[in-house]
Amino acid sequence: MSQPIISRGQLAAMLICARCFSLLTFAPRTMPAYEGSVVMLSQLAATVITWILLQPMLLLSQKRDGMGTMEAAFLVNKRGGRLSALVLWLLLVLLGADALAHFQYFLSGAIYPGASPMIFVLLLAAACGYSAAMGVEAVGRMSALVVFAFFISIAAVTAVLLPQARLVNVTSPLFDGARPVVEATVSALIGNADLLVLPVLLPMCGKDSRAPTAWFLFGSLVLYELIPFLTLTVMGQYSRTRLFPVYTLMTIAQVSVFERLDILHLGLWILIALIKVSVYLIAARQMLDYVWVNKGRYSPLFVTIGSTAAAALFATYAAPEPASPLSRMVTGGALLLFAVIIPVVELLILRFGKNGQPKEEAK
Amino acid sequence: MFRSLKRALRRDIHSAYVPPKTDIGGEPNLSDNLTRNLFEIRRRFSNTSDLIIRELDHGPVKIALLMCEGMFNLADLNKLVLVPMSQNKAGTAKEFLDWVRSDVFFSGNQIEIRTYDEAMTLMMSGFVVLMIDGECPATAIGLQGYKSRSVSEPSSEVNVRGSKEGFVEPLRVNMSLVRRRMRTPALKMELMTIEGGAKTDVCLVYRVDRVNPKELDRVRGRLACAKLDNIQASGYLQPFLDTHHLSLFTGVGVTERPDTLCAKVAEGRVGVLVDNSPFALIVPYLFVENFQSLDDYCSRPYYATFIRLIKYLAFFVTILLPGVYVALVNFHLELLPIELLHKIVVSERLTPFPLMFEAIIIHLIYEMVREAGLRMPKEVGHAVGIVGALVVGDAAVKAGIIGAPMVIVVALTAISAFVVPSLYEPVTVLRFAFIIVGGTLGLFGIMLGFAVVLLNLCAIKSGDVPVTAPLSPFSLYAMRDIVVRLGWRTLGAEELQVGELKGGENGSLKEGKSN
Repeated sequence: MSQPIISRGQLAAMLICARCFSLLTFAPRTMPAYEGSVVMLSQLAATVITWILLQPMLLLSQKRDGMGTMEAAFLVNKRGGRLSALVLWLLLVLLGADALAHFQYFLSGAIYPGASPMIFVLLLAAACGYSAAMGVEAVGRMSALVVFAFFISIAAVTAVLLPQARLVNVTSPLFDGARPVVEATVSALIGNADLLVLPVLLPMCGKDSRAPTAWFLFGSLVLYELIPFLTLTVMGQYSRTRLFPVYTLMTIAQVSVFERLDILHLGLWILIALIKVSVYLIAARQMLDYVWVNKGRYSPLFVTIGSTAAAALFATYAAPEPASPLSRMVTGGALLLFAVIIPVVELLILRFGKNGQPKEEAK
Repeated sequence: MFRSLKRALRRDIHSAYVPPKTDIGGEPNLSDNLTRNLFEIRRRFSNTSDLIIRELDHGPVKIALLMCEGMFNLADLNKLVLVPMSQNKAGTAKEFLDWVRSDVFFSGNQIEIRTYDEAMTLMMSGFVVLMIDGECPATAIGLQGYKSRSVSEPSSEVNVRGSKEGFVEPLRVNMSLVRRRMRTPALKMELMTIEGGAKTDVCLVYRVDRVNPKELDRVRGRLACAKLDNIQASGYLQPFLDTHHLSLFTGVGVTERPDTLCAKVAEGRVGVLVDNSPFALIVPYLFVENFQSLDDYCSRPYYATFIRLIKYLAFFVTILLPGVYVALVNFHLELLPIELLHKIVVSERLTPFPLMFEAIIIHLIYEMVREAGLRMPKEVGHAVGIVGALVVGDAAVKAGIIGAPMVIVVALTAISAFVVPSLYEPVTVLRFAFIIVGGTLGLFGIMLGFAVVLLNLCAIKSGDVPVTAPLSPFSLYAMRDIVVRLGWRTLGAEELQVGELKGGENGSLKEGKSN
């Protein structure tokens, strides 16, 4: 295994940024929405289940000296590996486009009403493309700084809003039975599309893949517990009527002459959006490198960026209301396939080979 | 000048270091015939008027002294060379040569030379060359006496409590300033000559017990690729040491202070002294070092920390304030407090130009005034301040061409820029970029631009160390001197080694120094 390109902390920071983007731009109108207390319990359950489901991938990395899922796929079968890489590339491009489109939806819905969506999409795509071209090291270093600043800002917001929190808004998550909790847990599991980049990025931080994964899941859990708690206790049912409840929450937070802290957060959210899409682009470019061999350094990157921008524009104009049930099923299926099934199959094949004997590495 | 620089940059800057040739076979050697030597030297010098050749008869031995006018010390030549020679009783050329080699000490720097190139280079460096008829090797005697600026306070890096000595043009003087401050045998000064027309001498300064050998080789290799015809300043060599030429920020530090250079060398960096330049280069150089100065280490920790925080604040103010102001007034008026909003809107409504245009014009005028103040003769320099204050500050506001809040913004921006002078170039360009972005895209554009700049910074490596270290990759033990400055009891307990920072070759991403 070659030297790590990014540190474990940087990888965790990138993934936390990608994960919390979904939380910050959550729109109840466009996604499955549940009671705040249900969300908090289901997130905890989903995190535990995710950790369990990721064990095969982590075990593969540990046993094979930091080898990633896709590298193992190539080792098992080159054609199968290429096909997997192509499918993953397509998924990552679509997820990146979805993130771009959703962030445009947020900006033109909450910040710049009436502005042309194309400008936001193209500018963000260009910035993310530049970011991806700078490489995973640069994005990793920036993510570490952004995550630190983000946690500071969340701590400031928490300190400001806690006096306004009303615990009477917190109801029992099992008030309507276990069904909402189960549904919310499943929704949280299949909605965590950021796990799709794990098979690609984990090898970049060396052999120890458990630590960054654990930090990522724990950091995400903290945010996914704290922010819904604040939203629930400060805004109560009013949050359901808002287009972007978390943004409204930040608007409510006022400190002294900084009458609105939302502008500070907007700056951070733009950085987080940039990191999220960049991570998808970097991972997608890596997959295209496997498929499209010997095509120069920048061709796969330009194809990936162009595809993502085009898909984002299509999603913006042709499909303005994102996240249909079908798309979530596709995401869930892909997660199950790339994060669970493929690592299990690879572990078995690499362990036992064709005749039940440990298999030598293919030349 | 720039074409040669461009050609040199295009060459492979990663070529390996090639040590200087020690075998002089093939180079035209000096002859043992004095007349032939003198003829050849005159021809190579194209009969230049500043070449002085003095032929002497020392009994039966014919000798000649060759020197360049104005480069040698006449009094030392007389006292140290001519007087001893007059007392010498050598009868043959061989005896005279043996006497020069073993029995007399003309100068602290006395070299035996055998080629015309050596003779000419040393003469042009202030040496006096002694040639003996009948013997091939000549003797170069270091009697430099050319006029140069005396050691004085550096003009670009002013400190309150630090040393008042700065580098000067002669390389040897600079070397002595460094050696005097680091009296350790581990300090090595490695002289090399940049190939090209000017044959400029440079000196690599480093500690053999702390420097990263790979980094040192990298510096040597990059300097070896700098085959410039003419090097008049250390800035000519800076691009060759930089790794990201398209970035706004550089990974090469510049200092005019020997104490600063010594402090950096003690942390395992490589210093590059360039002959005829009072500015030394330092590699690797981290971004946070732009906010450090020697005065920080002479003040109490609480005050040094306070000043550091002001510097960081000033940096953000100088690049973002004009752009944010334009963005807020154009797109986000709701974010301003009511009282301030009223004053700003009233003021800006009275001006004829759009706010973005106004900001660009006023900042351009400021840059022109600043540049004029830098270049014009000192006798009329005070006029620049008067013109700048009157025209920009007073008359323009009274005439209603620009608003008073904009003048305040410009003033704050300008003052903030001088708090961190080493970053003046990138902040000037970034300021204009953020004004344009803020005026067209609002705060969204400002933040996107900031993200791109931050990314650009995160992508740069100085040598093999990321310039954003130790912030990212994070190194807790190095943070003791970044935002806060801990006391000397802590700083002195364990010295920072730049090569051990995370992200560097010696400090891996996994380990590095963390406590």
